[in-house]
Amino acid sequence: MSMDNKKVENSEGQPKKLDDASRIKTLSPGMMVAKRFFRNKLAIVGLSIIVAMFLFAFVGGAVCPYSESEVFYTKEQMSKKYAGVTEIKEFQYQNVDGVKLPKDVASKMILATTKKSNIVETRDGSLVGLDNVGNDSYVMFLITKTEKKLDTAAGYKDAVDNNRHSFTEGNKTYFFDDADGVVFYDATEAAIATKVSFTAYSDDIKFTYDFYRSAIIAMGKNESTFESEGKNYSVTQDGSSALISLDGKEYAFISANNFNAIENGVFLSPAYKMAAIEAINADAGKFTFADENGKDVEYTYENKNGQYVISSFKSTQVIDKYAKPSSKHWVGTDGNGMDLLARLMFGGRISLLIGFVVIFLEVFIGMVIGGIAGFFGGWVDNVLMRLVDIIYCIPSMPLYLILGSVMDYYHASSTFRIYMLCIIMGVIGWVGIARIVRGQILSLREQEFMIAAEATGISIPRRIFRHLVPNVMPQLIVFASMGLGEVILAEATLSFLGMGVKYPSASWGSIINAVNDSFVMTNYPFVWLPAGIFILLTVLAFNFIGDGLRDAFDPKMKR
Amino acid sequence: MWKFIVKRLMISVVLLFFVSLIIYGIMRCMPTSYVEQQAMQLSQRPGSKSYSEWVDQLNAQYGLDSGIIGGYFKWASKAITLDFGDSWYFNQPVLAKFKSVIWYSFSLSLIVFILEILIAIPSGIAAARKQYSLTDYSVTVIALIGISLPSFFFATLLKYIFSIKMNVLPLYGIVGRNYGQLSSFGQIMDMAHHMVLPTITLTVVSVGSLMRYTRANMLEVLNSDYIRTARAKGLSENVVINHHAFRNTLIPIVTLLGGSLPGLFGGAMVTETLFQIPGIGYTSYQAVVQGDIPFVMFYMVFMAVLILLGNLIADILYAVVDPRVRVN
Repeated sequence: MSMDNKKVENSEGQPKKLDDASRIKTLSPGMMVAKRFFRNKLAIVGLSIIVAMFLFAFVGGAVCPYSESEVFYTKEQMSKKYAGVTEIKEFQYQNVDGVKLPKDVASKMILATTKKSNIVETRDGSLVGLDNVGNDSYVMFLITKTEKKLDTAAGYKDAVDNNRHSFTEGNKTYFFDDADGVVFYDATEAAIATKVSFTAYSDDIKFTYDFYRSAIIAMGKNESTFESEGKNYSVTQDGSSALISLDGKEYAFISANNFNAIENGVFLSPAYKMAAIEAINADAGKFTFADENGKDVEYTYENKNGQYVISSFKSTQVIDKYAKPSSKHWVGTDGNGMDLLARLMFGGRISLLIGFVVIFLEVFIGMVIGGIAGFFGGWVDNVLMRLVDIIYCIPSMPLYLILGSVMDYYHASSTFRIYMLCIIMGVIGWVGIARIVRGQILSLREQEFMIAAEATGISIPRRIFRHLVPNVMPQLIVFASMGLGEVILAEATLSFLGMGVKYPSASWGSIINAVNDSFVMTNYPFVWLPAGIFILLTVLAFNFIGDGLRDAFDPKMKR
Repeated sequence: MWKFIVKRLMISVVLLFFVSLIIYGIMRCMPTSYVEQQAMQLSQRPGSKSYSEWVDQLNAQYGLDSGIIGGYFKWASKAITLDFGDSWYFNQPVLAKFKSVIWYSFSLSLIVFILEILIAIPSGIAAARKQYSLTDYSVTVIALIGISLPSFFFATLLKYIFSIKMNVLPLYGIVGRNYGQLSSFGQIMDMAHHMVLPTITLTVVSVGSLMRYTRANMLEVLNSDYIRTARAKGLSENVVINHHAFRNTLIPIVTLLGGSLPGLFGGAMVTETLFQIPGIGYTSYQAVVQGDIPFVMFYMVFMAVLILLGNLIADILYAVVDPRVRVN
């Protein structure tokens, strides 16, 4: 202390006197504590973390454009099954108006065609003649044997030349079978059986029997035109499919495949079918076709046991689940498509608020009960401390879980759960504080200043809460700041186990709850990692502060 | 001494009575959908009684028909003879289930307990020897981080690193898939392999408080007069620390550790649940979630007994270890 007396001057430039107030710098006890506290680096770190957390949770939550329970959606390209294409394997029958075929003709016909027989005998004994007009196409006749000799008829010769089995002579139609010598039959045309399907280019086109018949015969003969009911149609054949046009305009599409739209109400146009068949025939694997808005859509197909399934990529609106961190969502989104940053902020509010409310409750109850027990002593002390013992003995974690499941049972709302959580934790947790307060007050009440207080006639509540409790404050503050960390930890653990704060409310613990799904744990660490780090940092900061406060309040441990 | 122990035991019994009464009261608030479910099943059998009759009968059977106080005395009169009834969820007597799971918890806790002592006491003393040194700061910070780590988060982190990313340790469970085919040594190694992560989790989470406790006590001892005297005598620093200081530090530590011995049977609910170790913690967690009143009731009372026992042991040890303390 090499203080030069001449330099010690007061503000007016005059030398200071020995008893000058500004000369003897004495700090108040509170200032001493503050000074010691702020010299502690760890405590400063803790304090800054807590301030940052509060700013993050309360200011950040107010600034953040998203709310805690806002669900975000995204468009996703999804491969959706669009249509199925099956090769037609069964005969499709087109009956002549008003003619009925025998019921079992379909099954008999399969037998007949495999045996290459031209006549089908059905169960009721009637005969059906099959006239092959092309690949898997038959004109069917109801026939009865006739004794007429028609070997010389012009139609017969024609038919033999053309490999047909029916002809018209006069106004009558005849059928003949040449498998075992030529036998003639009277015939009535009944139906046409093919393995192709017809699709009209517009809704108002109705195909007549004659159209079917003419088209199939033309296809069988590989002709490029045919006439039906006075109209000339042209045929463009491409493998097993064919396009029929009328007056240069597309009229119908014939294919050996059946098309089914997977979704209801989707009309598969002939042009679409053509494109699909073309791609399948060329084994291209995919094709593009313009949708109703004229936009090209790409379709892919795959072969499944002879059936082709056509899929298209469609954009569908889905919840934006587990989105990776991006400029829109800085931390990503969670399993409900909610912004994680917003949830971290609002969750932080709840976690911090629960911590403070619970600690306030604990300190309040603990102070009152500990103060009364310590001050009165005797039986009051005995009863209250046994109460403390009882509550101390109740295992807290299972108890919270039980009460959580009770609230589950009664479908408590998420806000109600938060209030209840605070109350329950406060009511269970005060015993530690009560013990500290009681112990301190037991020794303090014997001191002289309490005798003085009693002598001045101060009332008992005033003596307890104005003279004794303030002396316990240092321990209380240290205990409270460390306890805050514990409460936040307990709340996080409860929420993690799904018994604390529940959806749609957020808390840091309930955000980590997502790791119970091991897929989330493995693939989306950005969902649970930040919340865990926030809990760790906050609890750590409260512990740093508590530690710093303890050292600051305790002058024996010199720094 | 005996008088003191007997008196404490009497108080403990009274406390236990009230604790179990409170727990019973809370348990009765639990949804007992189990009884209704059971009654529904039984009433659907051919020629069975009606649903409501079954509910009444089952309620009577489980002592749920009388009020809380009456039901409690029914439960307590059986519990005194160690008959805790049958667990609903596990379908076997509560005590049988307890016996089959407790040793997993105990061995896990014991390993953690030993590791904790081996780590915490030397590092706590090292920190106190050189207060405000780098060692001291790191021990303090590590201890505080351990205390502040949420066990579920730390366990998840360990799983993520060691089970998923590095794939060297199992994710959960107590035995592997091919446990049955292993030799008995292999079986032990398999279990040990599964215990690694839970052990690390529990040790890291719980080592901090003992570390700080050791440090604080050592500091207090080092500030006392007899240490100054020992140094003044010219004893070497090692002798001062190891003989004079350490033994005195042990008094509160042994008391604390003795008091936590019964807790070894209590299990670690969160950690066991996370790693699905079939110990008492995981079992009781399942029981709580499933509303298995007999088992949860037993577990809660068991925990309360452990706490009371711990307090009693700590008090007795305090008098035994420190000859200056005389029990009145």
